[in-house]
Amino acid sequence: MAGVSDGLLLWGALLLPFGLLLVAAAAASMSAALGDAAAGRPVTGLTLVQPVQEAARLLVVRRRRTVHPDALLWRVGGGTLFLTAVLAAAVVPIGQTPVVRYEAGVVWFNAAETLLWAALWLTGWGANSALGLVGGYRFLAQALAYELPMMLALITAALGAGSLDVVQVAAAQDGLWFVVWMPVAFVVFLIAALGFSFWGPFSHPVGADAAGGVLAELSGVDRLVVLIGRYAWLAAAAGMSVPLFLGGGAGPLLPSWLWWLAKTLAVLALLVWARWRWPVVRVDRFEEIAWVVLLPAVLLQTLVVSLVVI
Amino acid sequence: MSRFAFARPHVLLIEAPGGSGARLALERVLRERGCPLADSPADADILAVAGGPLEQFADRVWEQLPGPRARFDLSDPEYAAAELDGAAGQLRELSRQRADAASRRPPLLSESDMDMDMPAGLQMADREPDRDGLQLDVLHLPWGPALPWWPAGLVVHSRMQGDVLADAQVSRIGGETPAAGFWLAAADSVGPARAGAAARLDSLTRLLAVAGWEAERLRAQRIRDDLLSAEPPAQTHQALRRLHRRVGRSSTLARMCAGVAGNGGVDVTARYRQWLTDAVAAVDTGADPPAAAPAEDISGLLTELLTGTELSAARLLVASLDPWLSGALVSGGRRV
Amino acid sequence: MLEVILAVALGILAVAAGVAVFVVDSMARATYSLLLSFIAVAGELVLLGSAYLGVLTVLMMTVEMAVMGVFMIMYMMNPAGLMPMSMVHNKRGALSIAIGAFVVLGAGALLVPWPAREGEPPAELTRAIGESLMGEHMLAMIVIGVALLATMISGVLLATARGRYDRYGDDLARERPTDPVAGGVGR
Repeated sequence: MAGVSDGLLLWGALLLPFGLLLVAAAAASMSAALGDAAAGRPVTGLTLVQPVQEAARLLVVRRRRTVHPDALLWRVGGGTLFLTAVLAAAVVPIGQTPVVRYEAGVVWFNAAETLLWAALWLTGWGANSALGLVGGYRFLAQALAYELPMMLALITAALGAGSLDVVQVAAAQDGLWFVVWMPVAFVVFLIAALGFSFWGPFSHPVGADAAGGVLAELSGVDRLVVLIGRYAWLAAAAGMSVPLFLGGGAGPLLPSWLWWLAKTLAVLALLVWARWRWPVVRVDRFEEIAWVVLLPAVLLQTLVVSLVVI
Repeated sequence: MSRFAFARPHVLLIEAPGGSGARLALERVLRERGCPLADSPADADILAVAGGPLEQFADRVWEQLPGPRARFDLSDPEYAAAELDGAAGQLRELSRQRADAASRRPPLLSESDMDMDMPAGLQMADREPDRDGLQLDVLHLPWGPALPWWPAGLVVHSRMQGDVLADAQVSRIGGETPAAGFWLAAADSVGPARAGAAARLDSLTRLLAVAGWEAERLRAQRIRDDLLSAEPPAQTHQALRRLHRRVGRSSTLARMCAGVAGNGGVDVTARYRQWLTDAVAAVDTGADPPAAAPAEDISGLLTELLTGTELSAARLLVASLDPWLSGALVSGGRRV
Repeated sequence: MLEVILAVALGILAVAAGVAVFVVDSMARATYSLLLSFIAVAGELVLLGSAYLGVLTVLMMTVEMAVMGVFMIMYMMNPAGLMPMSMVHNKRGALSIAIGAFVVLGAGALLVPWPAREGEPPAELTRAIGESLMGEHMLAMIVIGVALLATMISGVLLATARGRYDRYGDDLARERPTDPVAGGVGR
């Protein structure tokens, strides 16, 4: 098979979903802690266990039935959200080795992210609910807005390393981390991460003004699966940002996987905090910002990087 | 297991006309216990109607809650915590929930519309030209009165095409200014300055909820609850000033709210900034600043503004007219 | 051996999903059946050794199917297929052309005496593709790229009903354009 070499393929593939779940749970705990702090409640051990408690609740609650849904598309959409996150995380080097070492790993990540569009739109469409549909289309509009800047940001990192292989991109940063000389690309990647995880400022597809948008008609296990997918994508994005911009597993003393984990958790904390720091950026406003501000900025960044590399 | 699972049950909080006191008490208890407020019935375990029964609207919402579920109507703010405990207890009663689940039926549709071979009796939607020159389906969707983060008693019958309200008709149930009585009583008990500041913060929390800023909404709720309590803690003034700074100077929120009503309409950004400034002024000087109403006929103004707006903009507009829709700030700034 | 089984399975999946596009009533299901078919084809590309082209196909096709979802709602009267309408036209003609093309191409793939492989594929296939596209034909690529962009922008401008005079007034004198939806930058 082309492009797939080394990697911890077999048992890595089995452990990867659980590892991703753990990091996703960490994100949920961080978010719960920030929420409690804002509400004026003391942050206790119970706060940090909140993801488990919420999961238990959703497992007990019954699933929702709507009138004449497209059940196949609805459940497939919800179920594949976590699967696409696992696919994306498969090319992330944990330290120095990823589960799947792919020749075009950066494009693989991008492709998994576009599969997320399909999953989320199907979830919004399948319920046969006006508000679910509004949420699904809000997400599509948002995705079309951040996608091009994100692709260019990914290409910029690959350009700096001269390779589409994520491991090589990480290895090319042993002198200087990419975040130092391509900061615009890093910021755009983080914005896109918030966008494709429909989190925080970019949670308009699941906004309160549309009674939860895509989440409006989801209950029980279906809702749990979509929420897990959401946190898993935050985790995958944070994990990917490290080899792309923050030097991978490089660092003194500690083993490389530990450095990777520390950096991932730091980026994850930043992403989670974004939800509590900014209001929701509505999609119709974000479209213009993405095309008129972000895209030229990233293009200039790519130009600078390509001049330096050549 | 169910005790752990329902340690923080999700509550769908709906305000009926005359239920401001109950709603404020419930919001306070829920915030202190960390129970999230649900956005939709599918996410709710408990349906709480503040202010007494909301006719058949609450029943329709009740039917959409997935099991296990509990509900209560709260008219007396004193019993907020007790009622919540009772409802949470009901969630854990296995036999009761089983009986409830057994008695529920799937959603029924009228059999009389089956003249064509249509799935489940659903009619095909009419198509009409929309503002962008497309032929889009028209959906009749009523907004309220049983909707979270929504002024009490307000009903907006809309014809929606996509997420645009092509047509809107505003009506009220339960009187024009349902909350006026509560805020007048509050002004008597804690003084006009604190009541005025709290009323403005109350409307601000609804605006922040609809604008999607949960952190500041929670902080605004905390300050509002502190202002309305018998002995506000020392740092309340400090917190209010910080809120004024963060929310008032937030360029993101300003940009999201600017131009929502089209040219020459209501300026949502200016409005919420004015509320914050007035609240700080009230607390600093001890006098409630007067607030002029944007128009004589608020319902008419709202109808005009909502026609042709997109969903989020519509909710922001309703939230920006909230103090006058509910009667918290009576027209002309004079407390009648 | 595993690769052969995978290739056959993906091929069957691609054809089956392609047939499903025309059998289902719901446009949403048709769109995503088409996507499934394309993903199977992308899998074949990866099996054949094109790592980059394979994932690129998945990426591009998914975005295209998602955009098709947008157009579906804009222009279709019955996108979910709930009302039993026939959505196919000229069934006989289309079927005969499709089956004919499939037979011709399949026969060509199986019966043409392909030459034996001389040499080996390059170690870094993606780099080789890049160099062959950009090395000698750089000028052509640049010109084509700009021409495509110009075409897309012109297409959008031609499609929109509102021009400069609608936005800025008859003498282009307005400070702020009147748009039904304000953008985020505040222009």
